[in-house]
Amino acid sequence: MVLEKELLPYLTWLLTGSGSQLGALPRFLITALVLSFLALLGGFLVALVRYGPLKAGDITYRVAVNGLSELTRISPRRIWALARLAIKESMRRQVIVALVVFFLILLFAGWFIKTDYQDPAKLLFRFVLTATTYLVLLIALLVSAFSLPNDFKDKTIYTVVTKPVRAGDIVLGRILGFTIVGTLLLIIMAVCGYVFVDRSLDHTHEVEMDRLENVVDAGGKVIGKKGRTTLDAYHRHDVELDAEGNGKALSSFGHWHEIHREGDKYVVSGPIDFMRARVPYYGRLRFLDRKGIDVPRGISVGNEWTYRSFIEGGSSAAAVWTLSGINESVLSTDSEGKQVLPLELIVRVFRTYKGDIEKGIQGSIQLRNPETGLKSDVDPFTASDASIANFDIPTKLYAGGKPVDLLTDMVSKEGRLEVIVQCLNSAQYFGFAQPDCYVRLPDASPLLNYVKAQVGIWVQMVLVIAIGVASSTCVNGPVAMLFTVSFITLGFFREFFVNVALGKQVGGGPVESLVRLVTQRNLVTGIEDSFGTRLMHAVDSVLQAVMLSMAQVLPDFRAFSTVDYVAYGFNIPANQLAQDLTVTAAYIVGLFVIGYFFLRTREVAK
Amino acid sequence: MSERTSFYRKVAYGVAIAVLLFPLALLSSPATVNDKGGKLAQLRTENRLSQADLGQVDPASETMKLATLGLRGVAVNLLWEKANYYKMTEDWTNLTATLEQLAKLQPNFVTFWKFQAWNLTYNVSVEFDDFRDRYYYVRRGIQFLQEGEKYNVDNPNLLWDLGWFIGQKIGRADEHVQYRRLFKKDDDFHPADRPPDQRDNWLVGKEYYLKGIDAVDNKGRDLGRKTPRIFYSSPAMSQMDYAEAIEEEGYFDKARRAWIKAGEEWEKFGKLVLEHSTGVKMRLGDQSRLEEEVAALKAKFTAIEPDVRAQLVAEKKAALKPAEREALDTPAEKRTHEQQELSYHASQSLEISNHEIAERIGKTHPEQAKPALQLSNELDRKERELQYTINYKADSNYDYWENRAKMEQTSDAIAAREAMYEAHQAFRQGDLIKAKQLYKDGFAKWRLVFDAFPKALDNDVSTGDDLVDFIKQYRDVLDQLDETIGDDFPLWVALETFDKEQVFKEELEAHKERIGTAKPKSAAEKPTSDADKTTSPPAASAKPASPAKKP
Repeated sequence: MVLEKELLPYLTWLLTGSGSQLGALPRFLITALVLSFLALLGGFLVALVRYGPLKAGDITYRVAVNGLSELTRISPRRIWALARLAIKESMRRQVIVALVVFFLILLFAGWFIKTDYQDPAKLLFRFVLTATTYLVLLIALLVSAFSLPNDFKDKTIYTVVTKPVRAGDIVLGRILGFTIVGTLLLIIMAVCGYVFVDRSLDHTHEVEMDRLENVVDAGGKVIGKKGRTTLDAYHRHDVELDAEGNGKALSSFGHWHEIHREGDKYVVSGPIDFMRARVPYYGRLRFLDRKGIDVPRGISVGNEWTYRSFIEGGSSAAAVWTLSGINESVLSTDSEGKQVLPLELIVRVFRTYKGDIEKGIQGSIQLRNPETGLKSDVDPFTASDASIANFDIPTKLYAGGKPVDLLTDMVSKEGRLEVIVQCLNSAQYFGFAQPDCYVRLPDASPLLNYVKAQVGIWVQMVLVIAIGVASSTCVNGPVAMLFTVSFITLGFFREFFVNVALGKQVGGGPVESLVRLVTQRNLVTGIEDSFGTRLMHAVDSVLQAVMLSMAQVLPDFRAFSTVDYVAYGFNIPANQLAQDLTVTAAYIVGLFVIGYFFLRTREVAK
Repeated sequence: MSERTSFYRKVAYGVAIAVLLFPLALLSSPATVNDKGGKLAQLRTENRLSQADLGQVDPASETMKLATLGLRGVAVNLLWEKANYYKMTEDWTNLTATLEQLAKLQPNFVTFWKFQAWNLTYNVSVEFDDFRDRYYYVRRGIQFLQEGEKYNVDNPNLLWDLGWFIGQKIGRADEHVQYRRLFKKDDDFHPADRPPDQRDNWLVGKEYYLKGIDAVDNKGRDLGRKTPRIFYSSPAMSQMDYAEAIEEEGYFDKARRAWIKAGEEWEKFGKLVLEHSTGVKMRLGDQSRLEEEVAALKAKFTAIEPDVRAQLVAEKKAALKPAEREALDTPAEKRTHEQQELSYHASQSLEISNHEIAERIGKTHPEQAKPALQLSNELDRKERELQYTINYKADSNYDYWENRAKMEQTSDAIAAREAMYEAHQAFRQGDLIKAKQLYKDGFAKWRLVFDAFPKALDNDVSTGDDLVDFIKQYRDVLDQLDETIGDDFPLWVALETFDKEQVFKEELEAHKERIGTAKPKSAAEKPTSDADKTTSPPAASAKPASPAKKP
């Protein structure tokens, strides 16, 4: 699976961060302080203009102190009452329509999505989760952005504020109520989506009897049969059967089938392993160049996508993964009942000459104790390009021809173990990225993994609701909706936005881009130096500074998406979910405070 | 503005709308079972622009187009971006799925089908290391194009591309041996009624070429900007490629039949009327007839007034400036740069057109003016037709393929190729003596072939490549036997023509030196190797090869 950004351990992410990036908590506190200061300053200046310096100071102080004390005195009972109101209101506004639309999409999905791809599960999961995300976000947007403005417009807010409720209760009540409605919708969509995927992938085959051939051993005794299945669901499998007629339809299109004999017939089971949740245990990757010297990256073979870098075959170049925490708990038992270290490796092959097309490129895998430097004997393999290859490393190994024990001799005292992979054919290359080698722990439940992916969607939904409610406290419905849409859009393209702000994006800042668009110049054409150009760049600098500030509070919506994990059949790490939930909680706190103060500015809520 | 004025204006609007409705109805009323519909509907039918005429009507496609609410262009752009991104990040499943979504949004944009099918077949397939994965995406691209053909039924360009992809990609790739093998075994690609011996990529490709020709010739489809010469020659070329391919695989009887058929089809292609972009119609097989006609017309034209051309040349020469005349009189190699230019312009001005001759005849013999002018026009027309025919023939290598098809179907050529094939097999099995003998026999047959078809030595395409490869293999065999190619090798002359990469440069130079500097001694006097003792007679039409003599 492709993981372009490294997932930090939770506490590292929260407290210290990595490299130049601060931890999430310090960043939150700094942002909160800056925003609070700016809010106080802004409030004071407005009061200063209206009431003069002394009264302005007094008003600012009172608003801040009262506000903070009110925020601490929110009542769960009142919030729940207001949440129920929000739920009723949502129901009255026919949010159920979203479900109808979702069902319609699923009903006609077969028109648009074929399952004749090599990995249909990937496509179907991606489709279902994406459709659910967009629909849920749309509903969250509509109910949250228009709710309070409509109450103001219809004056129904008066019936609420005449009761002993605080502005904070109203904001939190709305957020909670809409979240409950959204969650219910999400649960129904998730269940239907899962059933849809399961039913779409379900199929069976028959064994083509006239194609079955006997497999004989050296003595001419029939030890089984081989053949193929019928073509169903756009694919077929090779079949291997034992002498009793039991066996399997070998892996194809991301799954396999069991076959057992019933009388004269072979019965093929439904698909197995379409849905998986591999649990990888990753190490850290470093490279050795052709002379065996440590380098941060391997060679570029000219790919536009720089995710993987390459090592040269027939030289000392190697990819070295250092795995930590290797002990008995990561071992598993193979089919013969022996304990093994289950390694999985994805190799990308790059040939500089074709050579024998029917033969794969040879590679080798070797273990090394980082403490003692003891290396196991080389285990050669034929690279299977861009697919997951399994290596069950036995606990009894050989190093220099002498028997050694994996845990005792190859793993350091701190539990570290190095996996060294090399390409053996000269002038041929292997490409790797850090997530391409891992210890495969026992699979997690695919169903639970799917639920975790839905939690990722839920997090996005809650964020949209919080933004929608907070923005609707001070502006009318359409404006609140536009603001939230902008927030979501920029959130989805946060990386691009930040790159524009930092000047890393080709094509320049916002004004320069506009000029290029209007004058039909491409992104890299130079613009002649003139007063106009200098002015344009000056304006861009100011705008880029504003954008950079905005980027500090902009949620990265794409980072919440865990669709790829499910699509590629990998378990969503709990750490990922914990980070997402923490970020959401932080946004809710921030948006709740903002929403509270904005609502306080409305006369009706004072 | 009074209330009445406003009322009148509204009435005027109403009347205008009502009046406009009539022409609108005439123009755009839809066709029904009993009615041809309005003018627009009729034009649509005439020009085959309605969806049903273009190809398969796909509800999914229509729904998607409608669902974009007029933002189809935006959606298409986004999807193209996504497709590029997926291609960059090697996410082939999503790339293929995105292409299918794009196809639903723009099903009648023929270039899209061609471009993306090419992308899958030629660009995505090579991203894989395993030739089976490569074949999967080659086939996927071909199937994508087949899907496009369903939406754009009888589109000659798509049909031709299908023929090209199936033929050339499978048959010419580095992995063509593997691809052809997989293609033949591909039960899921071929229709159930296609016999096993027709599961050849060149023959299947030919089927599509023929379908394309049928669409143009019988269904009135427009060929667009495709050159008719390439379009109409493709089936016969595919047949030749098929014959070549099965020969390479060792099916010689079948290959002979295939070459005979290819020869017939090439001849048929030569009789086909092709239209040049200038509107001139011609048949490639008509060159000799045209040459005769031109010669006859020229003779007739000259007979009217035999000396007029010479007179005109003399007059024009006399009118030249002294510097031009001097430049013309100076030998070409001694001309200065300025003289070269002057002589070029002078020579051009000395050229006499048929029309000028006819005009002169008209002046000197007014009674001959009309027939002379008619003859000059006819001669111009024929000469132009002949020139275009020669050009088209040269572009399509017509004579070479005509000769090749005739040559390859002869018993000697078949025997020569069979010997080469068996020699190679023997070499692979390690039987060097047998391999050497087979090569020798084979080259002797090749010699006979070239004697019978000396034109084959004029062209260095295909046969030449094959032959150089065979000789390379022969040299490998001899190397292992510690021998070299002898002077009595019957194909030195052919090697001289075909060895464009100069792989045999040293051997050729040494051979020339030997035969050029000393009279050959008796082969028995100093035999260098068995290879030198070949008994193959040197070709009558070629330079006589000297008996072997090691320097």
